[in-house]
Amino acid sequence: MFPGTSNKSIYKNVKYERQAVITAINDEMKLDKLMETVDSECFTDDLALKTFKWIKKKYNQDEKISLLRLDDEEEINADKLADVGVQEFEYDSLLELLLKFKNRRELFQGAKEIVELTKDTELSIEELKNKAQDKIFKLTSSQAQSKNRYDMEDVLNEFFGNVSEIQNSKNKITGLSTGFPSLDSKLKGLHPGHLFTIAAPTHFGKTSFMLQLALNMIKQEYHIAMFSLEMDVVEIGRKLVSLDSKVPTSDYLQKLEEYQRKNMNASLDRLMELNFTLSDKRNLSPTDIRAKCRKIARQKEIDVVMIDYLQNMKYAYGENDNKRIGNTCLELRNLAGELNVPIVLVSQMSRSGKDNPSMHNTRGSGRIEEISDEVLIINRPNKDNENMKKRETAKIIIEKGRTTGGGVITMDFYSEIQAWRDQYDEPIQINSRK
Amino acid sequence: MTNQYRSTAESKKIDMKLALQFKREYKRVMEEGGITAEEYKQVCELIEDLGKYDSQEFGEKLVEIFPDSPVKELIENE
Repeated sequence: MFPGTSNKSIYKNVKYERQAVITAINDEMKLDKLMETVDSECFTDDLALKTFKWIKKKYNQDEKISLLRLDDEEEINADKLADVGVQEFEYDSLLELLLKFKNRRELFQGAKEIVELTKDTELSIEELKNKAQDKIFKLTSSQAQSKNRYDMEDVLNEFFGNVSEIQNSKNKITGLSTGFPSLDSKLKGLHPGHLFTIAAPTHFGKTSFMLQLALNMIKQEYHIAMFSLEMDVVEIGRKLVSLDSKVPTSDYLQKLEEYQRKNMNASLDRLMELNFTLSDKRNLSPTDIRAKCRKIARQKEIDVVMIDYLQNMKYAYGENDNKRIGNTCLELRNLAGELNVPIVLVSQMSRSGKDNPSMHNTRGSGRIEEISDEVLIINRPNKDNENMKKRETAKIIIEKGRTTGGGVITMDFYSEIQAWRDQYDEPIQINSRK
Repeated sequence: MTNQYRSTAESKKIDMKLALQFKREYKRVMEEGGITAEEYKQVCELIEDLGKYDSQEFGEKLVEIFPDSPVKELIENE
């Protein structure tokens, strides 16, 4: 056990803080380790903190670092640093210990803030729970990801890294492939941290579009966590099997033909192996979804979260419906950032927009569009066209693309199996009853 | 911590304290006008690399900075 892990010093240890900096001053390898492992919040001691900041400044400017220069340039007591001596042989453990102290201090502070919240009698129990969970989640996710504050150098490095990634991958996708080549070409995939909204009036195929997207993605071995607030597990299962086996769901109700049964069995075997987690619990709030995602992620890392649909959710707090919808979207977008995954959110639009759907037809639409990073609207101008009963040409309108701009994509919709196909893909052969 | 590790850590501690003392003495001399700022800078760089040299080499480097220093005679006598 590294000295200092006793109960006496679970929140800080001045000697170790000083040892961390003086050791780095004397050894370039350990200096690199210090810079990549800890930040200034790991230091509670003024002398160690001042020294760490000086080291960081010199390190970033690529200037020589030594105890003599520190003694010359800063008004500090360098003898006190020399007195603690260097830690040569267990330096990694020493830095880990400083990180642990920092995490403990943050959790302690968070717990104190939650205790203070409980004294606020103006808050409802639901709001109190939301705020408390928010605090804990922010703490734990920041401890897991550690880097959420950037100085200017970091900002520019991130920016140039992103630009060069884009330059090196022209016409390639930079996010998670949707399995729809046209959509990937426009949006460059689904990006972690983004709220991706799919909107359409009732019976326009919102859920089927989301399920097709889910199937495309789980086949690429992405782990999807889906929250179905309308359809239950049987309905979702039936639709997924129908999409994959190409056997129309209406045929399930009658005696299946032998080749249909074979296709379905093959499909069940395929789907069984894939990464998919479904919750069909209704009336979930963003807080409930956050808690469930955290629980799922503890078992297996989530790649994409899908929610069907916004208007069936238990809204976040707000004075009126518009604010409640806005706050719900905002919480979901924050969740996308915290989990660092894209969240696909299905949203209903009013029927008045069925001939020419746009976000203006949706209650709370302004906020939904403002908060979402990408907004897709499903338009089916041939919905009632008798000549397109089996294979219908539909439009996917990219109403908003935060980094890629808008556009329109043509897709085929196969109503018998509720499947969506990219116009560039091979047409589907439906395995319907002969 | 074994005795060997402890003695290494202890000797580094002494080296650091010595280097600080050295540097501060030269700084005092510079402030009193005994040496120039350039000479002080060179001495500091030499002390920073204290661990690289044995006492003979360290003396010779010191003489390079201060050619008229009595250190030169001390080294020659050794």
